[in-house]
Amino acid sequence: MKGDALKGHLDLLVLSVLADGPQHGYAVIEALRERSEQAFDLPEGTVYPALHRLEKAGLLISEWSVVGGRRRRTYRLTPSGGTALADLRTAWADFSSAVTRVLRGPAWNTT
Amino acid sequence: MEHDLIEAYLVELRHGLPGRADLDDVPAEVEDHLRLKASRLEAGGLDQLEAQHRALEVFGNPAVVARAFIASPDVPGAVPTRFTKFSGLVAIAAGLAWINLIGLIEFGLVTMLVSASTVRPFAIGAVALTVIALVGSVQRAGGFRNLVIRLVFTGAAIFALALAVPVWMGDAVLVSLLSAVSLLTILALRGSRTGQFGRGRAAMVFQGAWVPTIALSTLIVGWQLAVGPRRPRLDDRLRRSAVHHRRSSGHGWLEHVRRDVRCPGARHSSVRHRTDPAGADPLPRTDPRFRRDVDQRRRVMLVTTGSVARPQNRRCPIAE
Repeated sequence: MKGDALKGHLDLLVLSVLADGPQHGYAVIEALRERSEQAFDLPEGTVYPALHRLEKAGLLISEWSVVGGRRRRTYRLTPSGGTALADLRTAWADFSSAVTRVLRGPAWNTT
Repeated sequence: MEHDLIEAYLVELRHGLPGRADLDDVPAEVEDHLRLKASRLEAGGLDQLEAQHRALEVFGNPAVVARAFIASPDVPGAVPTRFTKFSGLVAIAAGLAWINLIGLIEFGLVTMLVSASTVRPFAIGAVALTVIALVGSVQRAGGFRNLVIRLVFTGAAIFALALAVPVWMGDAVLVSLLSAVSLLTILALRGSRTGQFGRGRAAMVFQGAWVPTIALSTLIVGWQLAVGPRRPRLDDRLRRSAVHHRRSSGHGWLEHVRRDVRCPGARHSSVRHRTDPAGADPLPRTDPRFRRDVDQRRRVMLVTTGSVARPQNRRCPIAE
């Protein structure tokens, strides 16, 4: 699946991955790839601007540590991020079920 | 290591992020990712150079990644808000107040009918409105996140108001007042990078030079704050730079990184046009490799900004 298909959904996916606990960017990308069973094919470099944008929106918070002599930035969900994730999940469920209903076609007339 | 592709990549990325507040943080974060990825690929059996090459390949073109970072402003407050728009209207009111104040003083000096007590409320009002407008300017420029700027701003604002209270509007007081406002202005516009706001910078700094210009400049900034651009523009320097163009639209960007590592002195002279990896003729726009690069950049914009922005630097002024 190409990045175009993820348009507008990257925030939901990233927040959802981080709902499991704090992770650094590489781990987030790996989790996205594993959970989608390799379906999401997006340039890895695009995930970091999204993480930064979510942090600036107050949905994530990050902290730096030093691992193996390198600086590492770890992100975690804020309470606002948790609320936003719940809202986005609800919106996605509504959208998904609506699309499914459309694709399924009209119901059989039982009368 | 003899050829460190990641190091060269980070240099390219850094070039694409001029003047950002997080200029040190972004490359550090990207480096951690790339080295982690490369080490895992090495563990999978690749040699060091090939592992780095693969890590960079899946991470993306450094110019494209930099542009994605630029599309998301580095300063939390550097976007229009309801308050900054309101402060724009206040700035317009401040400009009108300054015009009235200047007229009142000139009229009073000629006719001797206006006393200091009459002028005082106008002066206090004009300064107060200007300070509110400047608070909006600082917030629009994202300056409030810096503690030093917050403290200096607060001190300068108190100083400006304190000067206005015992108003008799002598030259020394007026110059001091305008200096304080100008200081606030410089702080407010520090770090701003939008096109319209850039023009406001010149106008606001100009106000410190001559008394009547404060009204005009405050009106200009008020207009820009109230109805200015909704989103910060891409960095003009990045947009116009032929060097960045060459780096961002060239299909063989990774090849350029490799070439730069092998031959650092040839960084700016090795490739003058958008060329194929072999360094031969410029790629025609009908070439599928050129098309792939454009598609990749469009995909990045879609994923990171949620909007279909026309890929920048699509035409090459040098090659065409």
